[in-house]
Amino acid sequence: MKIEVIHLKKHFGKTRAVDDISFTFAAGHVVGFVGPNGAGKTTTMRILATLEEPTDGDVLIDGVSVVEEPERARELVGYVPDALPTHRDMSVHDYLDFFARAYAIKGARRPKVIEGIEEFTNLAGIREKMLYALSKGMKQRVSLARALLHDPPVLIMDEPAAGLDPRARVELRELLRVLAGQGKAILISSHILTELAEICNGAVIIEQGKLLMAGAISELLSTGGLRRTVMIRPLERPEDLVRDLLQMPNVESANPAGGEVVLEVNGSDEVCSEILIALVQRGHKIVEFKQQRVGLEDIFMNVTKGDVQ
Amino acid sequence: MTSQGGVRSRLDDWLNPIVVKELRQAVHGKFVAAALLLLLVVQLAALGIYIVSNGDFAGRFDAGRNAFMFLLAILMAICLLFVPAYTSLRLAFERDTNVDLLFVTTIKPSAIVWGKLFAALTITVLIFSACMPFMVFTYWLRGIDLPSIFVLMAASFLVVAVAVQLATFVACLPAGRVLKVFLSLLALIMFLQAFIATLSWSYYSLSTGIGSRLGSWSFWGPALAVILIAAAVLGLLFSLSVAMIKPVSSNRALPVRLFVTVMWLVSGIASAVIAYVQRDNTALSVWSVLSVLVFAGAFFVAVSEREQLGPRVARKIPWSGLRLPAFFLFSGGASGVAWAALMSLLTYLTVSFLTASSVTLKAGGSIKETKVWVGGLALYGLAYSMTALLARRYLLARWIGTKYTWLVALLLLAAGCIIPFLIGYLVAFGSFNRAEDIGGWLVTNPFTLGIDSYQSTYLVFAGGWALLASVLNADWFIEQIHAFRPRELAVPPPGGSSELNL
Repeated sequence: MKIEVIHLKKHFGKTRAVDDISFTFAAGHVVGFVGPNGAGKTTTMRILATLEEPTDGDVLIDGVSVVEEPERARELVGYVPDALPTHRDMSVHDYLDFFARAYAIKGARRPKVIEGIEEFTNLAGIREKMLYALSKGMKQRVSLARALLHDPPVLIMDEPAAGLDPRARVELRELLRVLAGQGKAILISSHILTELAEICNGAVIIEQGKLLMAGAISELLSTGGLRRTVMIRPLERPEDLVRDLLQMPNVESANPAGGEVVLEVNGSDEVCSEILIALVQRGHKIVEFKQQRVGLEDIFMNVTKGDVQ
Repeated sequence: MTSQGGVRSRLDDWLNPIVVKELRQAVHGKFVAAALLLLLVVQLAALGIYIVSNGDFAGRFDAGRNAFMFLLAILMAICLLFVPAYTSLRLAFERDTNVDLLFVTTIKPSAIVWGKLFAALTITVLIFSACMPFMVFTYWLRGIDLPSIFVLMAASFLVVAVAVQLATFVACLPAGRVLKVFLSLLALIMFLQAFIATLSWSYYSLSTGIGSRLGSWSFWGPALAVILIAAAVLGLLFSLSVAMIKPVSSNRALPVRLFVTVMWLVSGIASAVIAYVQRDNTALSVWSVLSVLVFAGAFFVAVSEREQLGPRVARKIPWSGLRLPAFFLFSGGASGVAWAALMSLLTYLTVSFLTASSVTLKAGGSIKETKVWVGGLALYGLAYSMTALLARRYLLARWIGTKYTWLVALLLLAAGCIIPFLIGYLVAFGSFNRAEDIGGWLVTNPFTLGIDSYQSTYLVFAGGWALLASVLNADWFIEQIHAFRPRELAVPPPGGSSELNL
């Protein structure tokens, strides 16, 4: 099972909501889909869920085109939109039963499937509760349960953690881990980047409809082109250290702070290690050399400009 | 599993999921139950008050009839207000928030609309059933017979069914809130008219003894005609609702144009047979004028359709010789205009051919008058829609989107009907007695085609105007005709894709 997003474009009049995006990921992986508001995340996800038609390009889900065979593609995709279920006068069980019918799950299989999903998403205890009486976290679970009814190998989740309290977020994270463990491919968008970094194997960063970066989280964190913050504590003469550092090509700034020097480095881990070697060779006595850990949030802030169309 | 259980399970699977959901929600909710109880209390109170205030029934033979009309008015008021409003409000809300979720399932848009309609009709049946004992009780008060009660209730049910479908259609429209409120008010006015018409007709039918005519053709002839017209209106509104709720990426026009074409054919054959049997062309005239009115409306809709086909629709265009007929049945502005023009022309030719080839069909009213209306309405419809298209493309493109071209056409039509009339009235002030006096000024008004002395002027003017506006939009047609070809899905070039090495 492989999801291939190929030169995907979606234009709304003159606005290029999605502008030639391509990336691929496989079953069993959780991929974070990151971008500022208006970047084109929801539009891309709606195309994957067959709800929008691309202006150009395609998405192949296990070889099935969402443009050419939307009906077959729908069987492979479970979609959790950013809107929570709002049906009135409807219990959790009735809601799931309705969608199970809509997915043409028939006969004795239907109650079994619903029961299994209710157990898995921990909804069995509240199955008779009305939807409007549920908390956001519970509604999000109902939404996830609905998307899982037809056992899709691919799960598309648009901002599932938005508005959830910490406990609900942890529970959602655990559910996603289990689902990935079952071999489902999951594409998830979120603004809570620390959260994404913990559950995702990979990330795709887009802005103004264009793909900026894509890859495994570890790969993204270690790739070059990022600004790093390094703290150096010399044994003596921090002023000399600052002067030497500012002469080095990849050092953007160096400022003394107490007995330490804080510098901004434009480069990879390798560049940082070269700086350390150079300083030692010039006779500086270094007591501590510490690079601040780069997170998904830092990458996001570095590669995006916050522009909207 | 027992065979009984198996049958029940199969029946359960066969049920439309929307019907199951709607009825479950109706049962869980307090609104339907409260409305039903309120109706029963009002009916009971109304009947009680009527009996108490008209104590002496011995010498009266209209007490049952009057009481029935009183109860029917209450029933229709509730059904024409409550059921359509309940159905359309729920659908409008779900259309805005939840309908996407349905489109990722295997459920079809037609099943969604059918489910909503069926559930609403089930609630209507429930309300009618609850009121039936009170209605039947009026039989004992004299002045009304049981068959009349059942016939009038059935007719009232038909009116409610059409009202529910109309409300469903308004709810399905992808319009803004302001426009929807405006359309809902229009629908409400229509329901009020339907309410008055139903009660007037019911009273008239009871007064003229409808029960005694149940075994004769004088009842069943008009009754069948009304049932057929109601079925056609229901079908048209249903297919329009399905088209409105379908995803933009589908061929929305196909079911509507197919339905209208089939209805046009079936009703045309029926009208010709009736005209032949009755030796009177009135049925044929009514059919042709009503048909062309629908097609004139179709011009307005067509110019508001999208101008470029998406890949999903385009890939279904046939390569073979079927491409030309397919053009008339595919979504798109140019194909919509072409279909409406073709159907108008076929209507005109059918009437001309049938009346020219059969003396029997020529008998009755003036065929010339019919042909003037058919040709004139089609030409004015085309002229106004093409002018609106021109205005939208070259003058209003910054402010008005393609889907609102119909609004421009409607405003132009209103201006074309009112402004010249006012100018003509002022010019002929003092000597104005009838429309004919200012006939020259009414050349832009399609509803004055009945003025005999100006008919030729109107037809020439409308024809010239339609031709000129169409020629000025020729590039719009050519572009869409040229683009109407099966799109080979471009296999995206390999490479350039960021493979996430996870």
